[in-house]
Formats: sequence, C-alpha cells, structure tokens
Amino acid sequence: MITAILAISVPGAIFGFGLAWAARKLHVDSDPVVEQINQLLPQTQCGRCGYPGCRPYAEAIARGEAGINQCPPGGEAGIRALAGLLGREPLDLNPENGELKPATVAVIDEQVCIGCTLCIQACPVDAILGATRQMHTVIAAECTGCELCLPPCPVDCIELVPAQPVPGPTVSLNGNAVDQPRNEGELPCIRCGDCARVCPSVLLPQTLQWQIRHERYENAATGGLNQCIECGRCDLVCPSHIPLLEWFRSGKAELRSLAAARTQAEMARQRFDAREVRLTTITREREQSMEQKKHALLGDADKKRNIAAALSRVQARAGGNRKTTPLP
Amino acid sequence: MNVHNQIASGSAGAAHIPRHPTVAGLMRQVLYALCPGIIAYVWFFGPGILLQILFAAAFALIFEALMLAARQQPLALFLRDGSAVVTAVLFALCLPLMAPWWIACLGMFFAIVMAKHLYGGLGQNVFNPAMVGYAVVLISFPQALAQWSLPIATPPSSASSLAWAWIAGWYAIGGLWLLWRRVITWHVPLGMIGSVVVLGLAAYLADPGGSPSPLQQVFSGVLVLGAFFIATDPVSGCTSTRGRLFFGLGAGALTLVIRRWGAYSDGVAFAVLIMNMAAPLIDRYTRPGIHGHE
Repeated sequence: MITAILAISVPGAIFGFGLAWAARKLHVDSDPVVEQINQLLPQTQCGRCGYPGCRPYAEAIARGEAGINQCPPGGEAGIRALAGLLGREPLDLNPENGELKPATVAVIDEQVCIGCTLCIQACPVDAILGATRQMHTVIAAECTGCELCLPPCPVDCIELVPAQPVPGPTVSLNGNAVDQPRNEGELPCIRCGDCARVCPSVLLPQTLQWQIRHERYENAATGGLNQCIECGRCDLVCPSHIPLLEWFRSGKAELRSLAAARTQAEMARQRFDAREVRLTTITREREQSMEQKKHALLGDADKKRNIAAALSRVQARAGGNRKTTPLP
Repeated sequence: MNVHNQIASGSAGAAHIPRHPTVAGLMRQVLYALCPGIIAYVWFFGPGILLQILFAAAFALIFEALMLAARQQPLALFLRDGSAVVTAVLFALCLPLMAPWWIACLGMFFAIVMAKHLYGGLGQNVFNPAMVGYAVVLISFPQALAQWSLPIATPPSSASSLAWAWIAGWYAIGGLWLLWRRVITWHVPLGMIGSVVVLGLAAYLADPGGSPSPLQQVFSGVLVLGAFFIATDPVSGCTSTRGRLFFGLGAGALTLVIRRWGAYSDGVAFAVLIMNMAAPLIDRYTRPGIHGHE
C-alpha cells in the first residue's frame, strides 16, 4: 500500500518539480520564430503583404495567418528561405501582393516639393528629411523603395529610380560571363580531391564550387570561401577543367552583395522599430494630455453642482417663502 | 583565350606548372595500372578473362552512349572520358571466368544506367557503379557467380589460392604505380589493407583454428584490387584526405565482418557500397581546418 502510494507520488513530485524548474529555466520572452522570420524578411516595410511592416507580417506568419508568399521585395529567394526555415513547400509569389520588381529608391523633385511633410509621416523608415514649408529630400542609402510616400504627395513630386547595384567582379580569366563560368570541354567534378591537395589555404575547392553553383553562399562562407587567396592552383590541377577560380570570384561577389543587403535590411529594421516606439510614445502622450484636460473640465462641473446644491440647502433652511431661482 | 588550352598546347605557362591533367588521362592511367594484374590473370587462368572484359566494356559503352543520348549530353566528350571502360574492367575482374555473357550485360546495365546515369552521370553517382553492378548479379544469380575455375598454368605451387595471391600481388604493383603517379593517394589502400591486417591478426590470435591468417585475408578474394582500384573511386568515396583514411579503415573492417559472418565468400563489394553511404557523413566531420583560421 505504502509502496504503491510512494511509487506514484514520488515520481510525480520529481516530474512536477522538474517541469516547474524547466518552465522557469527555459522561459522564452518573445517567440523566437518571429525573430527568425523577421531576419529573413527584406525590411522594406512596404506593407504590400497586407500587414503594417515586416515584423507584423512575421508575427502573422508565426501565428499561421499569413502565407509565406506575400512578400514581393523578398522575391523567390525570400520565399525559399522562409520555406526552408518553416519546413514548408516553396510557393510562387501571390500576385495579389504585387509582382517581382528590381530594387528601387524614391527621389523627390526638389523644385516641385511644397514642403507639406505628408511623405515624411508616411515613410516607415524615417528616410525623408525636411520640415514644414521646407524642401524635403530622400536619404538614398536609407530608402527601402517601399513606395508608401507616393500616394500622400499632393503634387506628385516623388518618383522611383533603380537602386544602385552592389558592384560585382569585373575580372574574368577567360572572358566568359562571370555568373556562369564555363570552360570548353569541361566535365563534371569527379571529386578527385587534387584541388584540395594543392590549396595553400587548406580549403576544399570542389565543395565550395558545388555550394556556389547551388547558391548556398552561406555554406561556402562557412567552408572558408573568403579565405581563398585566388592563387588559381586548383584551377590548374583540375582534370575536369572546371574554372574553379571564377566560381570563387563570383561566389565572393555574391557574398559581398548579400552582406551589403543584410546590413541595409538591419538598418531599415532598426529605423522602423525606432519609429514605432516614437509613434506609440506620441500617441500615449496625446492620450494622457486629453485625459488630463477631461479631468479638469469634469472638475469644474462638479464644483458648480456643489455650489448649486449648497445654495438650495441654504434657501430651504431660510424658510422657503422667499422665491429665488438657483444659480445656473 | 582559355588558360587550360594555352597550357595544354604549350603556348603559355611557366615551367613549374605541370601539364594540365584530364579525366580521360586519369582513367587511362588506371587502365594501364590494371594491366600487370590482368596479364597475371591470363597467365594463370587463360585468356578467358579478356573475353569477359571485352563483353563488359562493349556493353558499358553501349549503355553509356544510349543514356548520354537520352539525357541529351555531348556524346563524344563523355564517351572519351573513359570512366565507363574503367567501370567495366573492374566489374569483369570481379566475375568468375566462366560467368555467362548476359551476366556482364545485366551488371553493366545496373552499373551504367541505374547507378551512374540515373543519379546524374559522371561525378554524380552516390555508389560505386562497378560494385553496384557486381552486387546485383551476385545477389540475383549466386549459382552463375560461384563457378570459379582452377588455374591452368603451373604456378610455383599449383594451389588455386596461391594463383590468386600472385594476381593480387601484381594488382598491388599496378596500384603502387598509380600512387607514384599521384592518381590515387595512399590513404584508402593503407587504411583498407591496414585494418584487414590488424583486425585479421586479432581474430587469428583469438581463434587460430576458425579464422584464416591475416596474410590469407589480404591475398584472397579481390581485397587488393578493391583497396587500390575500387575503394579509391573518387566520386563515391570521401573527399578529404583524413576522410579517405577513415573510408579505407571502414571498408577493410566491413570486409572482414562480411567474410566472417556474412553469407557471401567475399565482402569487398558490399563493404565499399556501405562505406559509399557513409562517405558524405565522414566528409562532413573531417573537413580540414582552414589555413591560419581554425
């Protein structure tokens, strides 16, 4: 009897304490999935997904309300990345949310601008500079090309121009296009490993080459692509005549533009978050001052009512034969 | 101008840069290195093996051409790389002398069509094509593959196993030549033969009556051929040099395990196929540290 009770209650207590401990120890403040999704979004803050910014869209995806194919600026690569993170099938971009377009930035025609500040209020990342009845201008490096400033402008002085691309590699050993390097009579890699044997940086050139070919630039970076000194020895010993060096150059260029895009997205995210904080603070302060004013008004009414009540009491005590009208 | 063409034609390049290797050149050297073993085979068992090689090579080239045409790949470029012929010769050398002709046809079908081209052709196959073909015919037709002939020539001793040991010795000489030519590295052969010797010695010392001596283990079956020519297949093996050592060690140990406890007399084919499956994992954990960084 005692044994049976102990056999149930002791493990129960152990597991209970264990769960309590784990709940406290492993407590997570915010949903980490939202952060991860937000990291993959382009931080354009354009709202084309139907949500007011990238973080709200990330939260909607995490809740299962929004699909992963509603972000036109993220493009196919963005959808693929989201599909990979969430273990879903990559979909085509939802046409209701817009179409794939090359990156753009907004430019204000300063001759036409009347200084109405409407675009400044619309900009989700605070990339427009100006003041009332002063000329406005767009900080090109901070503009995400979200197009949200276009509709409010009363004089249509804002237009979108193509964003400046990150410079790619300009040198090619054999004059081929660098994004698809290919030698005449080139065969597939037979993994002989001769390139790895001669690499002075002790890299695995064949693995790097596959990763670049399949656009797994992050993996190539982990494998040391940036440590390649571009000596070209792998190129010379390759029996399949694969232009390894050129693959590495294009891979490095791709890594460079990815890093630039990531920095830009991170900056846009920070500015968007700062703007959100500012807007909430302003709203809260406004509400508070309204509340105070209301209180002040209400206080006056109370006072008047009290005075009126006191007067009527005095009159009642005085006998009631004297007819007076109460003060308004 | 293509830098490779410049170097190949000798019009450019410095003296310290070696002549550019080609896949076809590597495969040709593997075939040259197999010649001493094949000559020894003919010496002991007669010219029948040449017929097997011829059959296998012909079927291999036919299937290769058909598959290249079906996959719309450049025929001349890929037929000239010689990989199909190497697959065929290695497959034929594993067969018994008197195996019927359709064994070669079936084996090459599975080697070239299934194991190689359905996985994406040259450089893409997960498994060693020759060993896939051999494993399929061995499992499907154990009777046809059990008819081992007796040596016809008079070797220093007339025992059949001694003839095989001599042939294995000549394979090893060819393999050493490949090592010297730097077509293969020492890691796989040393790992494979080393683990067979060490584990075989341990088994022999533990049970001298039940297990053959490590010397017998090394020189029986196709172990030497496997260590120098089959397990060194770069495509289905490991990439890093340390990984290759592990690949060899694993293949040798598995060969002994299959010989000791398995249903088949020789385990090289299955050992190599199992290690093929493990190769990506080994590669993942044996990636060399980047110079000056890790």
